[in-house]
Amino acid sequence: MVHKEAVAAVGKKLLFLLLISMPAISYSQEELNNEIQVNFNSYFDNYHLTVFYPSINISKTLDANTSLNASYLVDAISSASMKMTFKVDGITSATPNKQGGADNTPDELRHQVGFGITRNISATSISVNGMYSIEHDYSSKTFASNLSIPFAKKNTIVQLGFTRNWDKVFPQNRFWTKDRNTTVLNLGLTQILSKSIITQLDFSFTNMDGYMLDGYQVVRIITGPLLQILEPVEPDKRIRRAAGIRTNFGISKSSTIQIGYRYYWDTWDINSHTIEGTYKTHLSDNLNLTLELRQYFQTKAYFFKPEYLVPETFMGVDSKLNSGYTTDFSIGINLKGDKSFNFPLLNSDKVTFMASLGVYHRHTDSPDWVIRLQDLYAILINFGFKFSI
Amino acid sequence: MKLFYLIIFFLIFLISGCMVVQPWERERLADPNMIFDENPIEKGIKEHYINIREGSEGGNGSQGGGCGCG
Repeated sequence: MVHKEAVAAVGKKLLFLLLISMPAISYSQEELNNEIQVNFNSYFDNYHLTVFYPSINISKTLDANTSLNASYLVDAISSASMKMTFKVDGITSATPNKQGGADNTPDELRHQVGFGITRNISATSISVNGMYSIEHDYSSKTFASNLSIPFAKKNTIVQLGFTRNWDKVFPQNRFWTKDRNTTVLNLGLTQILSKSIITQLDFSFTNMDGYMLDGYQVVRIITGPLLQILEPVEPDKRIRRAAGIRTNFGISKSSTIQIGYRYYWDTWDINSHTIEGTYKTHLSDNLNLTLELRQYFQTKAYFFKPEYLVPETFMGVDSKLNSGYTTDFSIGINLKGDKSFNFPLLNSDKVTFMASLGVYHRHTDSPDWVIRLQDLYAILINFGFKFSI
Repeated sequence: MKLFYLIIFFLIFLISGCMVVQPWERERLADPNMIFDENPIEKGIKEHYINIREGSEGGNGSQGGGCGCG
């Protein structure tokens, strides 16, 4: 009897895996091309965080079926949260920070390099990418691969993706180095529904183990006149799943609307719903406008508490583990250059200028652990150029 | 959760029976605005800042790095 129940349980899991193995990751409808893209991105919020992150990406075709790409990105962060927590760490007699955070400059720099190759074999596309990211207290190595297989005269595309991350965490106010390993499996299905409608189903399964905390956060426990400063403790394993659908509708010859929904659930009891809408239109032959609205709701992790009265097995104070919602709006333009334009750079039809302005609001059901605010407001300003070579 | 599986099954069933659009009928579909994640670089950057501030991620295939502790 027990054996039958076990078989039934396995059968249910296999059925579920069969169902999810049809849906997908991001659908690469892009063709192989030669181009350089330069972006200047910035982020400002009311938590006193400012980030500038310029990036450059180059893609170059070797032949009709093979393309190489390389990228380099820098995060320049001023006023990182650790700057505030170092005041706390003074109480714990942690090692004083000499660079990046405790002093006034340069706060924090992250460098990221990536390389990849895409190969088309008949109609099937295979891509392999590697990435390395380093900052003064964190390093990350990533391997990512993706297989894209079309069916039914390319009306259907099935995608399989595998990603593996090897991260190391070594906060400057701690005496240890800890590992975090992540494995991601992506499965997807993109389907043309009509001459003007295309839809995409996505599913991702993520298995994380190791140290998943921000090493600069602390838990304060006040018992009468005593103040205890402790490191947060979180489970060292987390399984995350997300499934979503998004559909593009061509509503006229010049305009499209994309509507999407994603459901997320994990073993820390965080569940979330994300609803997105995007409107795109060609204002002219050269100018394109994009409007995006995103709404997100999440529940809290089972061990998260705004305040701890006694030390507990698991203690988490990170606001992203708290329940709440976010709203995200952005407006963007793409301007393709033309020989008739009298502006530098844009007087070439091989250049495209891109710019966007985003507003992000996050509300949590209790105040942030250090800033003591429930509402985070951020502005994102991005611009860049794409050059065909 | 069962309802969720049913919805996934229904969607797969739904799209498995749709019409085949011939290549010469895809003028609208070929518009760059119809492409999901037309600019994957911009998308990756956006996903990175969102993932740092929210407890969910996945279902999009974009990659990022760093601790996000800023």
